[in-house]
Amino acid sequence: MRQAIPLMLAATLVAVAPDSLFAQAPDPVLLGEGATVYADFCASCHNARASSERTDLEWVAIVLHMRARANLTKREAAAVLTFLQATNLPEGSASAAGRLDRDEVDPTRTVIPAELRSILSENAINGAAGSPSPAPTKLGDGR
Amino acid sequence: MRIFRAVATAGLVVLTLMPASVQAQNRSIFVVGGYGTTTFEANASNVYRNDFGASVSPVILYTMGRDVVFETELEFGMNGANTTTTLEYAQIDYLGFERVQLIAGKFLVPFGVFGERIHPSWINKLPTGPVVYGHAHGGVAETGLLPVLSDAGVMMRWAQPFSGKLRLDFSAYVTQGPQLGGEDDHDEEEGAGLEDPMPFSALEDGPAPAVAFGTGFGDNNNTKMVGARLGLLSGGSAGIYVSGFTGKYDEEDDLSFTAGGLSVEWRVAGLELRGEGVLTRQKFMDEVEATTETLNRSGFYLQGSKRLDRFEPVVRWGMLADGTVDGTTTIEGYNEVALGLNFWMRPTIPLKIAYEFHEGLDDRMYVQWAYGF
Repeated sequence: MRQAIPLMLAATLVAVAPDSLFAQAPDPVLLGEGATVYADFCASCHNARASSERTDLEWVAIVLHMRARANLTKREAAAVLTFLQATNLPEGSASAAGRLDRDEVDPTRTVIPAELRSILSENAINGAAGSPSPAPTKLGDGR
Repeated sequence: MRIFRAVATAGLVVLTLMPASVQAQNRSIFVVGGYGTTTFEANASNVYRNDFGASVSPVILYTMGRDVVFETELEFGMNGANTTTTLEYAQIDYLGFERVQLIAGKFLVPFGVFGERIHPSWINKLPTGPVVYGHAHGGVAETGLLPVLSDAGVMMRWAQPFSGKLRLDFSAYVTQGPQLGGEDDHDEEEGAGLEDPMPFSALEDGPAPAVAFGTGFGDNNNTKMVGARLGLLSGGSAGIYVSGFTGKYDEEDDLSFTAGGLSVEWRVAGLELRGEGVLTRQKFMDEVEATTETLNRSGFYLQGSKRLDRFEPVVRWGMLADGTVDGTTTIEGYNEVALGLNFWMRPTIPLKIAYEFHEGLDDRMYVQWAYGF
């Protein structure tokens, strides 16, 4: 029994360790680029979809599919994925401000946390192709 | 035994402490998406001559690591008492390079823009396709010049961004190519009382035989179809594409089918303008004269739309020029104008109504509800 304790402890740690425990903060430069790519290339064909429609893992597959369809570079795809995952809601989020059921999402707007709105173009926020697009600022610009 | 337990424990601890992103790198991901459509179509002169239709197009994605993805789209639709099944695409994409993609399988051919990127019902701003692209059924353009092209082969894509927002978008492909089209066995799709809205059917009125694309795995001759598309884009606001392909469609490798296209698009402040022009040249055997002739056809469409909050008016003008053989008109030209109004219930759920004026034929009314999921 004493000899099995280390194994049992390690197995327990594996079972309970959440993915978010070691999640890294999104690269701010990539995040800003992703917002631009999202507004320019995604919105050139279809309306912007709310990032909360899918889980972070599903967006990985969907962005690969869209990269092939839109002929994006690897970095552009990584940037869009960063943006979608950064603006996605954490699963199981129960806060009144953070929890939005899919049916409650404003259909004309991408779900974007308030602190990110200042860096995003109007296209990304309005979810409409061709909406007025002031040049997005990037995190770290000091604005 | 002690050493084994120590190593196993250390391994489990390392696995636990491994960043989640590293673990996720190797996890395969399975996603189902797609879109569904339900359409009501009526003869404007007699609204009691009408049809309901429905279809669903599931899209399945499966990733293998982060550089390879398998993607497929099926389309299930109505055909009288039966259900039609179409494999829109089934392809494997290698995305390991920074700017180059390698694709193999059956894919939407990058000719123009509508077929590859705009035709899904939740994206297309009107219930019908533009006049130059007939709906793809069995790969034969029952109307228009070309179907929404889907064919089996290999493709290479290259994206080259420049300074500012300029970029090149290039695709080149080799596919099975065109083949002689089969008999039209889909008349039932038109429903009770509704005739084909277009005066031209490749299977009935043209001097040249019908040509089909992507109808089967076997190639009927020794010649593959080769083609390419080159686009110059300015961010998401403007783009211009030049497309072309050529292939042989008969078993003797004598008769070619060649197409060229020009596509332009421009977006600003919720206003979108797009247009495409298509030229086709089809060689065929004149059985009476026992000579090889060339059928020349061309057409274009222009479409404009303006987003007004959730509403979006759309107008589209399409024209097919006279089809000619040695300068002699063999197929009459055709005009159509479509007026539509969309209500976007959600970014991927449009409710569309449209009225189409068809030159020389009855006008049509449409109500379509599309759902992208």
